[in-house]
Amino acid sequence: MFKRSLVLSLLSVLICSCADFPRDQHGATNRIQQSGILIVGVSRESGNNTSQKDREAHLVEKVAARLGVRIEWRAGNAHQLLQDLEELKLPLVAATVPCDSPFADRIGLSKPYLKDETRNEEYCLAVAPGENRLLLLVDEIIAEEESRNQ
Amino acid sequence: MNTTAVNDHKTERKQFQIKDVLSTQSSLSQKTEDSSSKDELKAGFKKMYRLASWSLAYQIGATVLIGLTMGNSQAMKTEWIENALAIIPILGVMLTYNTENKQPEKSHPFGHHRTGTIAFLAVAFALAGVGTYLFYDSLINLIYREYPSIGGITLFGYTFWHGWLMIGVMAFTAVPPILFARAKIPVAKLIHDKPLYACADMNRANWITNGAGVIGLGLVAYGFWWGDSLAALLISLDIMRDGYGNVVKSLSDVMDRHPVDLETGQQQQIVDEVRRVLRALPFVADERTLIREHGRYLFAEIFIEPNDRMPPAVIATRQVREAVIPLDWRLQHVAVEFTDELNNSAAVLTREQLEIEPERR
Repeated sequence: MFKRSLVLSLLSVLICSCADFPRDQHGATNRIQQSGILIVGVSRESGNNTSQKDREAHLVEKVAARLGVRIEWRAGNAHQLLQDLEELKLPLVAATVPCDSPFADRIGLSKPYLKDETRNEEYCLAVAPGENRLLLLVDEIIAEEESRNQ
Repeated sequence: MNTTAVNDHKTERKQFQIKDVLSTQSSLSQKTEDSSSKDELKAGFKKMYRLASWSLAYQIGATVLIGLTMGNSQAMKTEWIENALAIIPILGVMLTYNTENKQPEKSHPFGHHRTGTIAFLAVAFALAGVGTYLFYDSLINLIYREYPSIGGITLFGYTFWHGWLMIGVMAFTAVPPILFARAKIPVAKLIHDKPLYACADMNRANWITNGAGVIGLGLVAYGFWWGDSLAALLISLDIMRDGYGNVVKSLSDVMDRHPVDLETGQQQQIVDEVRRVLRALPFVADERTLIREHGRYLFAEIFIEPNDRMPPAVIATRQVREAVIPLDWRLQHVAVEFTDELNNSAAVLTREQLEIEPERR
């Protein structure tokens, strides 16, 4: 009896702790929740597919809703936005970033939210490097949307 | 020594030299007279091949598994390369087993026992090189503070942190190598299989690197970015240890070092035993014995200065062989020379002694 309760309590501690982890390396999620604002970089460039931009916006709105915060869009040049992301000046960028971007090693890329078969390209949302909790949340939302669309 | 002396020594060699070399099969049949040890060896070889096959299958499986789950983690990448490299020594074990029975031929009169040594040397250099590169890579990651980004993975419709899967794979792949090492070491010692011992040695320390990987990824989950690179650094140190250790061992092998114990690296007793047995023969006044390893086998060159009681050379040679060969089943090739100039016959000459050393300015 004692053994079983010990195992159960250990398991519950493990499960609870799993829910708290992974943590962000620089606490992006906590900061967003404390400030109530999710700052998101969006690319200013014209010529990008609007339906793709809508899809990104939809995903970002879902992320914000899950965190219980409002979004502040920050438009800019895609390259500059990714650089800001790398320098931890921004937590999230939705700028139709291809998953094989040269920035891939230096930032956190989500799982692909769109596969463009004609161009043979996959697109990802970009998260500040090491902010694994935020990245996991973005991935969870993309996975949920994927299963909803199927 | 002058040139004439060297020439004299060569003529003497021709006169006194009786080299009696038996073929692999016939000499092996003489060696292990008691059938129990022969059976033990047979079982050892069988077990070795089975162990090598299982560990090859495991190692390929582990490499694929880690490759599929490694994601963005430096520690996982390093562990993946370590596992992929560990396949090669196992192939070396199998290569040795399959080539050492090949009959000597005109172009390779000493047989093919050293195939394993060559494979082993290549692996050792690969391990040392790749280990050093990975050490550098992980160090750069630490210095430039590269934050590992590890997101979610969706399996069976459930999305969870990829790091948990990595930790699971690291923990899972920590166990089999310990079991393999335990099984391999006694077999490697029994049949004196150096590549197999090297595999076991690599396996033996593997759980430490896996443990480092688990802790490193755990630290990343906790919010400490350096955990991943630090774990990778430790894993790369282990690869380097394997690499440089084996480079030294296999180079010594190529350099015809005296036979050494697999575990301690100390000279094996067989060298002293051969000399003791030789000195006990009634017709031996003095001797010089050179023994080297060819793969798992021992090749001996015995130089004997006989006394007055020297029987005819053929009989004396037979007596030497009968005394020496039963000492160890690995003694496969024994060459005997009777000489009255022991130091000349057994000498390994330098350029100075051959008088071909150019004068230094």
